[in-house]
Amino acid sequence: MNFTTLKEDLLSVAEEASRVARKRRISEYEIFVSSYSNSQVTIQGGMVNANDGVSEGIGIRVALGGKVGFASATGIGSDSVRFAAEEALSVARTLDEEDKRFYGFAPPRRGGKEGITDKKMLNITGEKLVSETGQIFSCAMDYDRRVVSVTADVTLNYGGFAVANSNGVERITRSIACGGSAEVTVLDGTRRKTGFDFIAERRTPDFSGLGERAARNAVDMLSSESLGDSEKMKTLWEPLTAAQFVDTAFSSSINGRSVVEGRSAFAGKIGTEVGIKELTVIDAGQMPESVATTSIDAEGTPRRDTKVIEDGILKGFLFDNYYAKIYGTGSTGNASRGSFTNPPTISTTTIAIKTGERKKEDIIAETQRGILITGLVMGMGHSNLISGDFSVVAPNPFLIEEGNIKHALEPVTIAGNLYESLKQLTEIGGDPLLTPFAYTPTLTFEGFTVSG
Amino acid sequence: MGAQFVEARLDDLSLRTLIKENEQIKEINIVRRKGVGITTYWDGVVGYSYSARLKKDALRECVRRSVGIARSSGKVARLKMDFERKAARKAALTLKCKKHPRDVPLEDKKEMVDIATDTAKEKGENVSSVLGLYGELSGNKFITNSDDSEICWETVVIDLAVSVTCKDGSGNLMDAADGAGGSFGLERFSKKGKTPEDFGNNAAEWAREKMKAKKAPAGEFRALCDNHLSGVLAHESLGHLSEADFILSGESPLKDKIGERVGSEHVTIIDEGVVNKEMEGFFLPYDDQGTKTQKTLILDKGILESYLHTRATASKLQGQLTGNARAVNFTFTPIPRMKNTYFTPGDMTEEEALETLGTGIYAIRTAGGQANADGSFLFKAVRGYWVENGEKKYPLKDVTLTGNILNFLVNAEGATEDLEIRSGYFGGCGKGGQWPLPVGLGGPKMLFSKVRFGGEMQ
Repeated sequence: MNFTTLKEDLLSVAEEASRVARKRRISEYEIFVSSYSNSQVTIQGGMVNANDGVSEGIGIRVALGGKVGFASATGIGSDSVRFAAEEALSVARTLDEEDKRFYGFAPPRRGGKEGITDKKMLNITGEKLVSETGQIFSCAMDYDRRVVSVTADVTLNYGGFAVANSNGVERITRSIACGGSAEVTVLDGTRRKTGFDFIAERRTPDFSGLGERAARNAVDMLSSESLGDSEKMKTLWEPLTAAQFVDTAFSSSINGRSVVEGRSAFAGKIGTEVGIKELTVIDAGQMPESVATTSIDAEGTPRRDTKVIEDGILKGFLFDNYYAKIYGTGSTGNASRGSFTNPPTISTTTIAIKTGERKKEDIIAETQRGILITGLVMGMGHSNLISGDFSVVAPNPFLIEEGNIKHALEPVTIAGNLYESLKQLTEIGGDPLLTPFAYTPTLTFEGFTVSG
Repeated sequence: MGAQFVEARLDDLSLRTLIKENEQIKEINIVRRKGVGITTYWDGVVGYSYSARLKKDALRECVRRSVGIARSSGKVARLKMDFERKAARKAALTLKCKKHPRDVPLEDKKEMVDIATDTAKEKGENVSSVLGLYGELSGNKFITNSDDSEICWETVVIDLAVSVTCKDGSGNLMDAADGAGGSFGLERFSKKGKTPEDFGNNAAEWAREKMKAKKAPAGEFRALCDNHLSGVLAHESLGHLSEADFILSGESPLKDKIGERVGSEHVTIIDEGVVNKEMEGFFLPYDDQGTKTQKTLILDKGILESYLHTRATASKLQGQLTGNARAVNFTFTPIPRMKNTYFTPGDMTEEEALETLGTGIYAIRTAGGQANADGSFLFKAVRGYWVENGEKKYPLKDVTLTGNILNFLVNAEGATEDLEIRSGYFGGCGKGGQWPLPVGLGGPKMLFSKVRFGGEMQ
């Protein structure tokens, strides 16, 4: 896969697929072709696992009136193109009922910008990935004598996807991203703790300090004590942890499919108050620095920024072409696919929370009693997105008393409701961080049950 | 190119998904997944590359990338991985089932989804959404390596599920789901308790029950975990932490604990490739390095017996080959993963277990779980009851159960006599970016003297 000729390469596959479709007299079709080079070096406690390959494939949707079929194949050679086209057609023919809500594939629309594309990253060699991973690993291992294990990895991904359809859409988007992470385990007597940190960037990342930060996060936990109680209390979520929370809270509730199909708690609540008045949320599809940013979505519709909540009032949902029609609006450019093997569905891009004033340290200084939640929590992904009930385990929490971090805590459980939480916010911090989950500052909530 | 060992793995699989949402077929998805993965060993370092292009020049490029990245990695490897060469082995295996998904027309699968969703809709109360899912994966895996082994086996897994969302009086949404999956033919869905009607009825009934459910409390309580939830517990508590890469790397608290007690005498955990056909396990006769899968006794009456190995970890730790090298698809290198992991049954009936529970929480069904290298883990129950003096008092909402491997399984007080193992096409296990890998999990109903619940205060 060659990044510089990717545009021509993918569009020529799309063109070949369009020709196959037209030859079979298919008047409505949509082609999705993707190609990504993925290199990853992982050092797990000294063992090296290195993976370097190209993932490519094609997915085709065919519509015979309201009968829509989809099929996909790995690879972008002629046999894959033919397989996907033929199978999609045969699925469409199998259907005995039309989908009366299907009004065709996405119309062509102008606009949509690429995120930052730093072509210098294409010169990062396998050796460089290996030496960077080795550096993160060593720095973490050497940070403290109680470090017993480090897993470090560095990844470099580049490539893109093209979308073409019978309405004249013919677009491609490309991206390059590099990331790294470190997971550290420390042991002191029988006390075992973990720490984590990571970076994901569209520019050549600076990995210095990453290993040390992960190790420090683990070492800090060694002095942990048990909370020894269950109580409703104030919780401060550091930007990374807050991003994980926010990503989960908005993944289904503002998703146009959940709204239309009767599975969103926010359905029918446009124009009403769903959060505190300081809360403004956008789906920032065009944030140049975010690794989630592309010029188009998975149907070829331009990406954009969409207002979700403004001053606490629910303003809008996210749509692809299909659900936008049913809801009676236009696509917000939020069609996405896990990969070429999936037909489009709807997902957020980068949820961005409007930043407040104070940094984490200042908020802590005015907290009488609360819990600071750092790192990643466990079980966020197991939250009930329909009812909004969540119940997570935080492995790296700290107790705050009288304006100070008193000590680290043994793992605590935190439970509450994702959708009610937006009204339980007591402060939105002024220290935003961009992560692949979301763009958010420190968030403070009152009313979750903490137990440990 | 200088590699000491090469292994090629070809996936030739087809995946089909059918999704019906509120009386409309929303998706019929057919995927062909065909590609090759090349593992090379170069001076104790594993290199991996893959390609969906199967022409000679593409394969050569694939081998070059695999060796290239292994060779560049040599200098940072503090732990070199080698393994014993084995005698060549040739094998080809298929799974016998009456109604192989390959031979059943799409219409019949659609009809099952129709029945499940129609039943759920009809029996449900204040239904705001019904979702029906059918999925299948089938095809062949081929492995050949420098030992001249040639292994081919057929993988099949199917799944049928229905979920119902209802609205209660105050407009709050709640949901419940039922279904079954595993390596079997579609004849399984005619079995009593496993028909599309049964799934629709259960989902509707449990959603109705949830409208009356209270929030589970927070803190430590006596607990009875049903068969599904026990399976997730076996998987998350002991399963992951006995995967040998975590042992070698020092991440797992079970390192150097072979022969030590980590559970009470009531806890025996097995990880097995091919389970009894009556169960709903995942059929895994060989792993992704062509090793025949074993019935591995991980925990024997509370004593740690074995880790879960790939060829390289078995050699390094002088363990038995267990056949746990698995990759989610051809774009990944095989790493230690579970097969079908389950608690062995005890001798109580459900009534006896509830009676012995006395006062506490009966936690039922699951939405999965997660484990961490500090030994902590969580597993999520999606239904449950508050029990007083052996009697179910009222239903509970979703709740997280949590603990630490080093002091959790010692609290097991007993198990019921009924064993269930399940797997499926939807969902699966995730590790190192490899998700969703089909695994089986199960057990009897397990009774614990103390479990921390991440519930809410009223």
